[in-house]
Amino acid sequence: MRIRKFILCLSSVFSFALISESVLALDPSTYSVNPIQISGLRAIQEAAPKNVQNNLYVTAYYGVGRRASLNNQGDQINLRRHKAKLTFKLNGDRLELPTVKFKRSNFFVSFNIVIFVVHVGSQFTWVNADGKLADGDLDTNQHYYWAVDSLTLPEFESLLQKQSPKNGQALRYNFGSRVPEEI
Amino acid sequence: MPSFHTRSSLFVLGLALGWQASAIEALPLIGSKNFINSAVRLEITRQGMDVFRTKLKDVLVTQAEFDPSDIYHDPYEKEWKEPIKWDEIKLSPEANTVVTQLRELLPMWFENFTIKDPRPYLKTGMSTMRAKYSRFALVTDERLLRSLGKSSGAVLSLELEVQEASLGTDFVQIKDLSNQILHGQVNNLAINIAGGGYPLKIRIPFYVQINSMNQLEFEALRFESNLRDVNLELKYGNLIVPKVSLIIDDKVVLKLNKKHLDKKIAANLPAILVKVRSFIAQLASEELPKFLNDKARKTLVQKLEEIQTLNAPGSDPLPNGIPHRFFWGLQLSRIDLNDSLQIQLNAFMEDDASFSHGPLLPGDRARGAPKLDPQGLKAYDLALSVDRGLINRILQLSFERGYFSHIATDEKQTQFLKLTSSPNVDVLPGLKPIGSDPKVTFLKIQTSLKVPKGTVTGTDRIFLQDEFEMSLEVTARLQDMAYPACGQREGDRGISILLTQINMESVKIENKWFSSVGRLASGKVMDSVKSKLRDISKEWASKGQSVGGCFDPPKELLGFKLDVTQLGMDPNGHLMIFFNYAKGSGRSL
Repeated sequence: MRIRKFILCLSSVFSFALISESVLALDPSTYSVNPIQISGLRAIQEAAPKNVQNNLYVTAYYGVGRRASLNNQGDQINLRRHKAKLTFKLNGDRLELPTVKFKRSNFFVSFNIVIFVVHVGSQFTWVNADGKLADGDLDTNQHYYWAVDSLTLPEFESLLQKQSPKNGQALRYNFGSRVPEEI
Repeated sequence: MPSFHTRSSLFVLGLALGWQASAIEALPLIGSKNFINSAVRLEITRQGMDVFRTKLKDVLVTQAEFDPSDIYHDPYEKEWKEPIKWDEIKLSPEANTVVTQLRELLPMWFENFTIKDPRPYLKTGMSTMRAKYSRFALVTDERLLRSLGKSSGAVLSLELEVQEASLGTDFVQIKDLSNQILHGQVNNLAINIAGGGYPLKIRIPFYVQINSMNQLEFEALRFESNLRDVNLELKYGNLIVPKVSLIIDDKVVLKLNKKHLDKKIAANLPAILVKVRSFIAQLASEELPKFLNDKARKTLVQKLEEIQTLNAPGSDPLPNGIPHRFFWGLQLSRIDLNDSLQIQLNAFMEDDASFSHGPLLPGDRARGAPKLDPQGLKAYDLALSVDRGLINRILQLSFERGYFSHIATDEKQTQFLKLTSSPNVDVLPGLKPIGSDPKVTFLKIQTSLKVPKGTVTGTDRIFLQDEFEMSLEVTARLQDMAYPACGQREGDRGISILLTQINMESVKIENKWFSSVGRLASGKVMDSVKSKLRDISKEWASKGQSVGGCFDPPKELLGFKLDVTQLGMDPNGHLMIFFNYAKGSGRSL
């Protein structure tokens, strides 16, 4: 009898664990973006003036926005809302951005672009071409950037499909932004 | 004879056309916007529309912030503030009869029993909608446009085929706040469409045009679907209904058999679903176009305008190392559908509000609309024309900012020249032989410049002032080039500007720049100047003289990468660029 109770107890705990896991994995109110490993940063660093090379940071903006419809420069992005913003010191050729989770938006997409910005100093705020900041961002008065690149959600999903990263593995992406002319 | 560094000095003419993306700083306010009407025209051919048949969903995700495959909504709660009058509730005649009878009979049979006008309360849990589409396309419908008798605008149709869809919510709770006994809750409710061989097909044709206020007008024309024929499935976890019991003689308690109720609902579900499906189909066909039109009227009141920045050609970096930037913007001005989809955009190019510029002179603009398809072949996905006025506007802004007044003519930067009039580009007809490289075109650049002190040396000073001004016209060759000629890395491309010829007939030096002796022999002096220029021109003709920069044609349209297939100059003064979608980004190749 005791054994039966123990098995019942075990199975209920086990099933609870299963339910909990599925709830976490499928929690519809949370949006999760895979970790991203950005490479090719050394070239960006080396192209920067020597006096700033050791003071470069990378900020990743996860949010909702769009590149200009008729876009001739990769940096013409209108970031309307930002959901997460991560800043790291540029140190070496690679940088790994962790899994990012944020609350989902009602009806519209929660995330459709991630912008990678290489800038001088640890503070940075993205300013759109019309002079507006993304909703939810604070102006640090530091708007200068050295290089920029971005991935839209379809591009991100296409990379995911090609690379099929296993659990916890980062999506690999080579920073492909134009390096500004030497100034 | 005069000797001066004309070759170096002319680099600037092309440099003025070359711009590159780079760093950006805080953005000041834009000055007044001087729009050049229809400065940019875009033609999307039938084959170019293919991406909207296969990749429309991506466009919606990146441009409209909407993913039709995955929609989420937070828990939702709504409480009606006022009761709804029974008479105003639209019920079927049968249901109306039943409700009316109940409202009359129940108060008669049970004391203190009334059914008041309901005041509903609705609450739902987290809701999601997930769908798989076998078709999600936007197509043009020229025939429908003509049948509407419209002379402008376009009819586009949204065509969907839904293979599977699931609309679910954690729970739906309904209460009647006026009648506390009426309440119910369904948990884990899901409505599924399992298309199988019969996917749900929806077609919504709509008419769009740009009105005189440059606002987009949208009119959904109808809603067509096979909603009545698809497999609709309703699932729910459990049903919570009021507990109903009958007490007889204070002793016998008869309870409502919940299991029987569940069984009854399950048995009637197919019939309920037919009713639901029919109701949704009717609602969609009658109400959805009205709803969409109403929404469009409320939301599409702003002009559709997009602003971008452009590094000012010729500008020295500011003290913080960042080049000065101009602002440019596009505004939708006209849409037409004639075999291909044609979109006209007004454009402005402005400096920031701290520096005032006059508008562009009308003579600097194109002389009419371009002919987008010179060969009569539509062997491209997209064609883009840019009014020369927009290019001249960029040059004007840089010139008026003084960016062309201190141009180093040698690498050591010991001598500088100054442009004394804004460079002006125009068509140079007849320079592109048939069968020549399609990715090459030519244009002419007219300007005048002041040759710096020290360029006229020795005995030449007898004839010409040390510092003198001349006007001239140069031919520039525009060519689509790969890295390293253009761009910063493998895979980059751009349009290089090579100076190829100086038009000798155009070279003019005003009398005031000649010395008294030179004026007497001005013809000979001019011959000598031209002779020097001719040598330079010959050198250019053989290999072209790079101006040290490339300009970037549009690389993307709505997120689809583009490859230049052909360049041209329209006789009316438009730079024309023809594109195909890059492999893998647009239509499947």
